[in-house]
Amino acid sequence: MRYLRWLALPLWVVGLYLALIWVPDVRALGVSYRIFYIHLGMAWTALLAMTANFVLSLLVLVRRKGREETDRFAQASAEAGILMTTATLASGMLWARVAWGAYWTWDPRLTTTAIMWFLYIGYLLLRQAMDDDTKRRVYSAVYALIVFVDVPIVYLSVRWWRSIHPVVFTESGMNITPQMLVAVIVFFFATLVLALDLIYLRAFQEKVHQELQKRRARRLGRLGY
Amino acid sequence: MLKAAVWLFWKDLSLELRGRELLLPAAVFGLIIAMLYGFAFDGGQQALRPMFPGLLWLGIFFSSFLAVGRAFGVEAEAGQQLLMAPIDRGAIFLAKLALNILLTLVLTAVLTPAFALLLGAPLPRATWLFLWTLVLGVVGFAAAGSAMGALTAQTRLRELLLPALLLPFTSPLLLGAVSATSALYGKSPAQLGSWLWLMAVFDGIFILVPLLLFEYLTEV
Repeated sequence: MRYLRWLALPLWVVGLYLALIWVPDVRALGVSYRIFYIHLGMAWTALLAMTANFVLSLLVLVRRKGREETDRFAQASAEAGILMTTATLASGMLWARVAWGAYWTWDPRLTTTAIMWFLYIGYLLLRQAMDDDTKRRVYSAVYALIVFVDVPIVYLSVRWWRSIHPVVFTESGMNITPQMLVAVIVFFFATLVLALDLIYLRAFQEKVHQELQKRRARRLGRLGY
Repeated sequence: MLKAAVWLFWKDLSLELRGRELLLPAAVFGLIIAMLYGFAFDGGQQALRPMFPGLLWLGIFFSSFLAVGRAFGVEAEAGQQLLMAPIDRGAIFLAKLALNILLTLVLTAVLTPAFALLLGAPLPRATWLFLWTLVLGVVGFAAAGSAMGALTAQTRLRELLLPALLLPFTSPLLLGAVSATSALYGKSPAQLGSWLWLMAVFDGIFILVPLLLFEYLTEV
């Protein structure tokens, strides 16, 4: 897994080349639409990271073996998911300013993404506010499960409320050319590999952090604190 | 499990009846919100009337989270004594949920006429449908509030954390409740049924899922 970052870099270079130079302009949207490649890849990766967080949280609850490790990866995938969600929102807002004339609209996907962002920020806030390690693992896992169930309900409710987001993939087929699809897929893998790399890095950092704290506590104990 | 839940509910209810620690401050806070709306959206009653559904539900949600967050807080402050009782853990959650539902229902019964009075909006003519909307919205909020209350009870600064977790979480419920209430006032009334369904589904899911997961919280 250590070599992931060496894969992320060339993927990003190729992805950027494809998205910014290789793919032709779309007549109606001009240059601005090129941000869409970054946007879509990050949005998919964000959803995958949140799904990974859900699965890992479920594992934390049902499997005692290796609970610490699973929990570290659950936290790391939530963090990567939040990062990707933030980037999705930021790139989407830039594009919306050009295409729709406003940074923010109350479209279902935008609104759902924003609420999802808040819900997973809440996950990190909850983790931060719990002192007991075992409790933090279980409580945040339960929170993650409940929140994951909430996201589709949020989407449904906002969708009934209003919708203007462009739909790229419909039941009748794709609204994009094969050339664009290649760029989309390359960029999706570029962001996915980056996210995986970040998840491993963060989980490892957490491991080191917890180990240091354990040793520090032991040492203070020996010194008589 | 049900018998234990009823006894626990009775315990909390008698505590509340003796002290009125939750309902009174929450109701007063709700009334203050109605006053503040009047100041903040200066424009007299005519201007506020179209916004009444949204203002009412925000008032109910904001004052309710003061009440629902405390249900598990009292147990956290008392230590873990309740967990030593030889009863099904689900009973604890059910009892707290029932208390929260009752508290928020009473709160809503007080606040709704008061909001209508202060904001100058007549209540919808379809009384039964309006009652259904109120009940579905309030029960869902109490259920989500019980779940989040249980999760935040053990944290530092739980009063600060709870709204940050609970309010985005209940956003579909707020959308459903406000849209359903607007529908009763004649704004796209055809959608009323779907909004009521949405709220009912939210209520059902977030009573069941936390009930199933509560066991895990009591094990650690």
